[in-house]
Amino acid sequence: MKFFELVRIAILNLLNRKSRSFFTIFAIAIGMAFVIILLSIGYGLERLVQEQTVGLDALRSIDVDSEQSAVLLLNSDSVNKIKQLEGVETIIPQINCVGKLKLGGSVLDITVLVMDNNYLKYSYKSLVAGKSFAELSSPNLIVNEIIPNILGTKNEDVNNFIGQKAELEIIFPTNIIKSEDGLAIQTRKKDLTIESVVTDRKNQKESPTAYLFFDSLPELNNPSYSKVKVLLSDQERLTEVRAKIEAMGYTTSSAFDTLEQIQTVFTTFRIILMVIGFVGVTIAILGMFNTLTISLLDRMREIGIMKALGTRNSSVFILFFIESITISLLGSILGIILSFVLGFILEKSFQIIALGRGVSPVSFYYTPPYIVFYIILIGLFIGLITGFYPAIRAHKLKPLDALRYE
Amino acid sequence: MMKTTKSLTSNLDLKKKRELHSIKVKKKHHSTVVIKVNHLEKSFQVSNNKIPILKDISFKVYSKDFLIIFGPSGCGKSTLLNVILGLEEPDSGEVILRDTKTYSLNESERADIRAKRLGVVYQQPTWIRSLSVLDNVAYPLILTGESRRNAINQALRRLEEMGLSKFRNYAPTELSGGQQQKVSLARALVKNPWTLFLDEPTGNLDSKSEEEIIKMLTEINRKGKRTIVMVTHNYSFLLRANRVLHLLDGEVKGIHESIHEIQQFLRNQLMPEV
Repeated sequence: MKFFELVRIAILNLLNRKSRSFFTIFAIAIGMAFVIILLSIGYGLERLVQEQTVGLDALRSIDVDSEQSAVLLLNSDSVNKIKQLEGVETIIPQINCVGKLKLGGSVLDITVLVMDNNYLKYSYKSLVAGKSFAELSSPNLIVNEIIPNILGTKNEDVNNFIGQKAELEIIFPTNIIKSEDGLAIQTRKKDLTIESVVTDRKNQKESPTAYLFFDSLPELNNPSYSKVKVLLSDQERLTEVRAKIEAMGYTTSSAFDTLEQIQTVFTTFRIILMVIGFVGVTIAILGMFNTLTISLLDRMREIGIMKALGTRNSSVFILFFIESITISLLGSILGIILSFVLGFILEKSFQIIALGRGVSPVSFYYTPPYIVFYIILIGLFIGLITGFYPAIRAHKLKPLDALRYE
Repeated sequence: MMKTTKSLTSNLDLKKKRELHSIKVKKKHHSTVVIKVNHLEKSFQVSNNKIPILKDISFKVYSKDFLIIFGPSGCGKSTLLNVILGLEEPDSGEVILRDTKTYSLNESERADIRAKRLGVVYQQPTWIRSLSVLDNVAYPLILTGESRRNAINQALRRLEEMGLSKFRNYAPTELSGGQQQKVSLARALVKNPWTLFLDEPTGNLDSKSEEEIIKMLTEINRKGKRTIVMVTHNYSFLLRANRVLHLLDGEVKGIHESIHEIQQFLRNQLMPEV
């Protein structure tokens, strides 16, 4: 018998028992939807945590420092060497030091970050008040919002902070600037105007910090940098470039390390969710197995006449497999659709609740496309395992025994 | 004297007629053998006992025969039929369909022979419930790989011959017993089988339906020249056959191969004391 005819008979058999077929398919669909929803929540949360913690750009950057070494300096020569490595797009050096900010009669102990022009663009800073990052110029000062807060400026009045004159005393560590007169510590005083106030999106516990460009300190002559951020053109080159920089003797760190840790945690989390999800699928499988076995018993005489008329055992065997695979595949497809609908409803509901409470809505639900493919494969597998027993039994059935079955 | 001569002559004529008829039957027997059964034995295991059902059965079926296998219930008729159909393997002996030894073939090959060459009608019509009357009748042709279109056309033609084409889209179980049996017959005939096998086809029918079926079978045999092998315990069918195989307790008690013999056999069955 042609395969197409077997498929036709299988589908007609399923349609002949519409309710039974529908409920079996629906049970599989619910099980599959449950698995997809749980997995999508796992993937969505992982993606959310990654974005919040690491950020997408961070995946192609390497932080280089030489703070552990007094001999190996991170200066413009070494920066140039690193810049020549294949795959390096931009180098963003910085100097971290401390200082005193005199502003309006107050003196604050602050962190001072002397930065490259590109620093703010690739950092997690966002503008609170003042000039945009593109408009900023030397020799002026940028402060974080902690400073106006400490000085009693309310958030709504922070614009008034812009344009204020301040005196900044920068205290450079010895490994940054070597003194001519042998003094261990070098200081520089600058009179500056505050141009912008920024906030750090990632670090809510930042200390009061002032930022100024290298151009504001022309007297710095080939300083040693505290840290250099190396930006790559391609994330794929990260491991290779990092190895080369470390071979030069520098210490490196990357958000990739954090990312790997996050991935490890969430992989375990997803496995747990999947196991929970598959409990539901297992129940659906047992129901489907039961339905197929009952269907076999229901159709014993029918199988008998088919064989008596000349249907081969193999055709009967394939017929039952076609039925079981049809049920499981339809259930999987319906489950995928159901998961998208329910996932959409779930996420939107949470977002509405979040907005209602004045919290920024976040996306925590993400279904990677390959999940759909795997669910279809699992559906196929379920069809094969549940159909096997009834198919084998139908195959072995003697026509006369089947015809005599009551 | 003339009267005596006339009656003698008429007796002689009658005798000659019988002889001629007998010769004709014997001549007919030199037509093709379609089924040969040789020393068939079959028994069933019931608990620890082996119950013999068929004992050393041998006979032939010729082309265009209407052979009735006759005997009381439980004599082994249906078992014999199922063995010939390749559905029940005998303990010993052989069944030869045309030139093929049935039991030298494997199960799939025997299924193929049933699909392509043999038609069967059982006492209880059984259907593929998801298929309509038309699809059920077309099924044997679909089984052999015939295109759907051709199969449906031929099935429809058979239903028209039975006068049942208007029921083609019904579910078979929606028809009466007699109608179902006619559809069953159409299904068996749709592939133009070598031989049509029937196992008590009218067993569950009323007398009117029974008569319709047997009339159809007679026509199929006489006009359609189809070989028929029918199992029955119903006396009234015996005279429709051209040969009767009498089975009793699993043994062949006699094969009656002329109308005269069949009539004699029938008389013996109905009036054994005469």
